[in-house]
Amino acid sequence: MEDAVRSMTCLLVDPHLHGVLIKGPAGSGKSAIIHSFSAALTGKRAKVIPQNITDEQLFGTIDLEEVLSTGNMAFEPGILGGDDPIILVDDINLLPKNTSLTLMDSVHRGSVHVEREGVSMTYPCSVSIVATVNDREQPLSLAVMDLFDICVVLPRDSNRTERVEIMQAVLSEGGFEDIRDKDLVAKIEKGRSLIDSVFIPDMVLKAIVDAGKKYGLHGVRGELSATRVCKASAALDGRTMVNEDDLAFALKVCIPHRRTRHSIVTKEPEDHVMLFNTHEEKEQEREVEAQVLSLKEAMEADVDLEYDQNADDKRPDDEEDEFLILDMEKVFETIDLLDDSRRKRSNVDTQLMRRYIKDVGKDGRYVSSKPADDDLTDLAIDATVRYAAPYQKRRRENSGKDGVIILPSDLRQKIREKRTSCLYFFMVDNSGSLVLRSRMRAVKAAILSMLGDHYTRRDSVAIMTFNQDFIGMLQPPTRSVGGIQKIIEDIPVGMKTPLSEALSFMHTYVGQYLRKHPGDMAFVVLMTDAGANVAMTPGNDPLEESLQIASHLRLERMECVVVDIKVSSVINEKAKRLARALDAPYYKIEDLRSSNDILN
Amino acid sequence: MSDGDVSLQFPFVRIVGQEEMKRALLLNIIDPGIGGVLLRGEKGTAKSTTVRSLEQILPKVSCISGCQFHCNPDKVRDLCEDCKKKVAEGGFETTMRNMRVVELPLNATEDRISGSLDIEHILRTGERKYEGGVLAQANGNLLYVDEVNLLDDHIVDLLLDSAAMGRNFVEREGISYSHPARFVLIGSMNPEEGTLRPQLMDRFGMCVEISTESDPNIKIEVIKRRLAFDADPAGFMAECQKETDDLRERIAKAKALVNKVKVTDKVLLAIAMVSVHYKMEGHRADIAMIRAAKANAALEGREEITFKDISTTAPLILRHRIKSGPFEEASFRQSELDNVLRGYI
Repeated sequence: MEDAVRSMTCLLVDPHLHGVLIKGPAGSGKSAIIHSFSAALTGKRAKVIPQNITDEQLFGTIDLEEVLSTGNMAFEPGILGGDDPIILVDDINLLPKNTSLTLMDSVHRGSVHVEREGVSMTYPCSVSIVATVNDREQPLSLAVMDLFDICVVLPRDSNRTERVEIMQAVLSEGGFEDIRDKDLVAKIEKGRSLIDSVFIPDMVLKAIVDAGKKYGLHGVRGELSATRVCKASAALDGRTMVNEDDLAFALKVCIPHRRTRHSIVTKEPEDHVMLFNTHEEKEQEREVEAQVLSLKEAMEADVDLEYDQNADDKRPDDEEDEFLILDMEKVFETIDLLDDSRRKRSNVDTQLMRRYIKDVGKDGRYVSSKPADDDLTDLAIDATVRYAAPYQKRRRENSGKDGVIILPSDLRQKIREKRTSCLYFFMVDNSGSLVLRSRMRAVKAAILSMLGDHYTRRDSVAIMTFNQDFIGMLQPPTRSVGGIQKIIEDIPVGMKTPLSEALSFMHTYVGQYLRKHPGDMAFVVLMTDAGANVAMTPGNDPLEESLQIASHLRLERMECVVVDIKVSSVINEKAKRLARALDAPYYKIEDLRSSNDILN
Repeated sequence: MSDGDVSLQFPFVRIVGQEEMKRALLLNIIDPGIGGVLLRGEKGTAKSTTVRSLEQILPKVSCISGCQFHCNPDKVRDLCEDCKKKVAEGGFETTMRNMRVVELPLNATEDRISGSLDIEHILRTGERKYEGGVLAQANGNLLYVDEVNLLDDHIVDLLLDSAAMGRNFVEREGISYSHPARFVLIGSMNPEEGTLRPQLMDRFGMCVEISTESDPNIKIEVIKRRLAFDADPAGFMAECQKETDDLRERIAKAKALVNKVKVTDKVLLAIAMVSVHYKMEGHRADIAMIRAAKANAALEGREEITFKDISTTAPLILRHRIKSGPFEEASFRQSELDNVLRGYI
């Protein structure tokens, strides 16, 4: 709770910080704290962007009133053009990805660029975004997440004092004027005047960059945000020198949501010690190290550390191998019980599912409009009026009539999109090469865990297996998962691996399914070690043939991932090449700390 | 990336590393015929920052005054209808203008991309008049599409059609119009957010794979420069004004020189052999490789193409096209390319 307030305060101190994301389960007081912060600042609740907002409302559009009454073109900026310092986006994960990306890109650039429906406009925008996200519904795209400088995770159970504070905040709704906090405003103003003179030592930068490296951050946004938060935090406390507390805070709120790795993988390189020459600097450095370590502990607190070490160490032989599998099953189980906010992200960074489709009849979300053709079924009144607006003056003059004159050529049809349901198509290699190393258990555990997390009532699940004796559906697409568990337990095993034939089978099957279900997506999870040893055409190299086929497997609305189930310390090039040929992300099964990683 | 003042972009010459991306962009400015660049990379790797900063170093080009497509009088084939008339009659004036980076926002609608009725003009005069959209602005400029893999399909089709024909055809709302639309298409994407349709991928002459800088000292340098820029954008720009001017000058010179770069039979043969070796379909790759090698020579101030001109630029063209069979970019090896080349040049 304190972190959230401090984060929002930092946001206001440094104009180069643009967004705070507050994560937490429903009812953890995410919106309440933002509203009360806004109230303390301005005497008003924060301006809210609702989920059903159209791009016109958000980014701006023609000023209808002006055009209709005067006939002059006028532009009306959207919410982003307003002067509210903080805008709240509730459950930003439910906004379409393109909208949230454009929103965050606009605030980062400090300007909004609109090229929509007859309007071409660029206007400045200086708002900051505070958004809430509740991952249970649908995960937030990692690209959008990265555009939030700061992310704070609220625990499910806040302590008693905080609860009282939240209740007070909620109860005082409407009467926010009383709680305007002059101290806070003064503190922010002081911070703003100081921030440019805050000095950040190289050592702190080094610590930030090291933390970024350890957690596998992509790009440099995370490190840049952390640096700015350090400065803002120092300025807030009236200091011009960044200290360990600033660093600890910055790392805590800027790094974890961007990490792609969940722990330190490599041994510490020695080179960084060289940066610090004097004894004093070494002392300071140790303190910094301690901060980084405590951050690490905070992040690791709820995950089986021992497991990490096993996974990251070299595994020279099959005994280790076996041990790993047993451990993994335990991890899958443990993770499923964990709260979303504590889930670990592995070195997987993907938003695979584009779960929106367009033109879905009348029950989707209205996103934009198109000229109506002969079969107008879903009139977009606002867009129609907008398109007709410019001609009104002239039409009135010509016809001598009053009011708004709409001609058939003005009519616009709504374009809607909605979330689709999804077929989870598990394609399991149950050939001998895997069975021999009794890896099937891990595979089963992974499937069950993925289903446990991601199956919703609209979705369906299918399981296909392949080996020399049998290529086909073990379980055709079904919406009742009750029996699935039993079926998975009983996956039979065979000897050789006819990968190419299995791929063709999958392609035909999924293709047919998608044709029959035009609103659905198929998400194919191919679990194999790619140890193909049977070719369709005698004489072909089995693996090359499979890769050849894989490179042609493209279906609209189908996405694949390859889960490499070969456990080995050597990189399995075969499976990697298969993933490339499929244009699919590649994961090793031991990377999947949680199914969240691949089904997001 | 953040930037408080829109007019002040982070200076191109102060962007740390990412040499391959920078070179690909410069070569396309020198010769737009290369066919554009696709930047593929993780988030936060300075893709947008780099592209947006190009405006600082883009050369001046001549254009016919008053033309909304800024037609270049030297390129007679690519004139709009009005300018054709003017040039035929000889009654036109030219001005020099800076080339620009025109951006296509992700949520742009069709009418604003291809252009539509000029509403104000109708209001005032009652006449229908075409008002150019993003494609009109892009003519003779760079067109930048951030997150190109997230664009709607029908928008992508519009882009592809214009890019292929060099002209934008508009048939809507009672308007029938076409105008030149020749631009350098620059797309950026984060492959984690979804793939790009193969047709669009092939359209890009070059493709650069960008990865996160792993050297901590370089990262620290990136952060320091960004902080210095944020603290005083104008001062930071001023400090590297000379370098920026020098680079702009160098590009302008290269643009003038590129047509004089000699393509010997040896070079042609070498490039043909590379295409054969990598089983390139069609001739798009061959032509792009020749153009890129020429542009690279021109950028270095030479009129002869050397081994290095081909060896450093060909990967940008080949990597995303090597798809016959399962091999994709990872199967590309510089040494393999160099070996093929060495036999011929």
